[in-house]
Amino acid sequence: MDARLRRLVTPRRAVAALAETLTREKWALGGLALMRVMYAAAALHLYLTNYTLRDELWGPGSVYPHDSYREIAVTPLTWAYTIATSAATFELVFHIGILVAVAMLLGIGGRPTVVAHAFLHISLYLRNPLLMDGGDNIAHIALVFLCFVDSSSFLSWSWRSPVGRQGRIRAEVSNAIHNVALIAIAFQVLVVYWASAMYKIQGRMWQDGVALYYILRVPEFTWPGVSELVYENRWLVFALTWTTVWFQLAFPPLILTQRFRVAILGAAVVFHLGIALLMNLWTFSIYMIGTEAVFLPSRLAARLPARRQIARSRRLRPQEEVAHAARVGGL
Amino acid sequence: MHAALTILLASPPNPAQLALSDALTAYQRPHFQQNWQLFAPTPISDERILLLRARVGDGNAARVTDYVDITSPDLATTHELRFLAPKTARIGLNLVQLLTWRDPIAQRIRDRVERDGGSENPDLLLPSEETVLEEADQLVQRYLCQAAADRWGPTAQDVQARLVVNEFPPYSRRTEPNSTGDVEIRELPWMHGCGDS
Repeated sequence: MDARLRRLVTPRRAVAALAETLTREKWALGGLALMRVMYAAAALHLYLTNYTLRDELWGPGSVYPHDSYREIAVTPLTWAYTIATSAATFELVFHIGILVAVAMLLGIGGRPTVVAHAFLHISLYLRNPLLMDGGDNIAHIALVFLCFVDSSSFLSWSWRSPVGRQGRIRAEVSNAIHNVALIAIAFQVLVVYWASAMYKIQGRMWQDGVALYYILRVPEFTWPGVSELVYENRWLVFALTWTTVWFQLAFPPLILTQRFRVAILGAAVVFHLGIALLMNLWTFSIYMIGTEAVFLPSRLAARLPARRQIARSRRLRPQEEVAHAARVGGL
Repeated sequence: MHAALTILLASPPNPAQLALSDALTAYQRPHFQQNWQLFAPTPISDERILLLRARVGDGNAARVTDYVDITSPDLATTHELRFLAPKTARIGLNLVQLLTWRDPIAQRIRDRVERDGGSENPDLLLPSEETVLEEADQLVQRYLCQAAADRWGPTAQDVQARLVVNEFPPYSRRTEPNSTGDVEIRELPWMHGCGDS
């Protein structure tokens, strides 16, 4: 390396530059708000489509014993159903879960609502892991990180007047936590694509371009009357099987390239809507599209409706603003 | 650190994963399990149906019922309701998958031994496989007992299941009207004491 360049890029400067980038501002606020809304919608889909079966799926009489749940529920984020050993306590926790998901969908209550939902929903997953699919897997992981980001700057309602200026240090720490958690979510999406592509290129049926035929015949993923039309057509089976592999391989590099980001995001939405329709995997698709929303470029995300206030807005008077800033920021 | 462990957990079986298997197992529970096979490397290529029968009634009046298909009604609901379908069908299918789960590396070795005409016992399982199977057995029993109670009431004490695996006709014969693949039937042992728990 050139001596001058080496003087320029010392490890210390690199760390400083990284810190500056991470703390300057919160990224992907719009995308994260979309993610929050779609996660809440998918959760409500699970709650409501299984509502009448709730006792046999998650209640005291569930096929998955409460004792087994206690064994795997080893962190506080999984404990919501530990008290649900009677019909009454189960109904209580379950219905609180629905109300919190509705609040999260509407964007009421900010981050505390998101944390409460993560707690209730991850607990619900562990209460009966026999119900889980790939969508629930990514939702479980991403919900942990969603607790650490600001997902309520858009598409939401707030009770309070807009807060005044935050103290600088406090704002920087909060920005850094937000951005690191966001990176963890984005990274998880890349891992999903990379790993499932790796598995697919190792499989004979994927290499041969016939995998989709077998998948569409599995009764759980069949759409009677429609799947046959797809899998009896050799061109469609071959094209869709190979496009799936190409698309999954291409996603990680292209999503990280500014120029192709919107195109590959659009392809991902189409891909997952196709899976939702053809294979009836709705929550999986909503969760995948929701998680991919974090890659939405800010110039598009900025068009989303910003946070609104529920009570009639009352502007802070200047002296109040200073007092408020002093309280939160320790000026 | 999180990134490295996540990549290793998510990737197909490889030497690094084997070397760090203890640390990886500890890290993934309960929040970071990574399971992204998603129909790969080999997608499911068969239909799995559970049939159930039970011994019902007490004493001299006890009789054994005929086998009843307990998977298809759930699947029919899924097909009928589509977007609004509940997730009940998943339980039976996930249980069957647990029952037939084998460690991928161990299975590869077993397959090779079998192909080479080796003399080792192919039914020999790893301790980890035994653990999964034991848990699966208990869950399957609970599942079958509940299904029996739904159909025949509380006097159904003993239950037995048959797993019917109906392989799809190969791709090349997909448009032939009455083409069927191999059918394999596996009978699980009688399970006793449904009313006890």
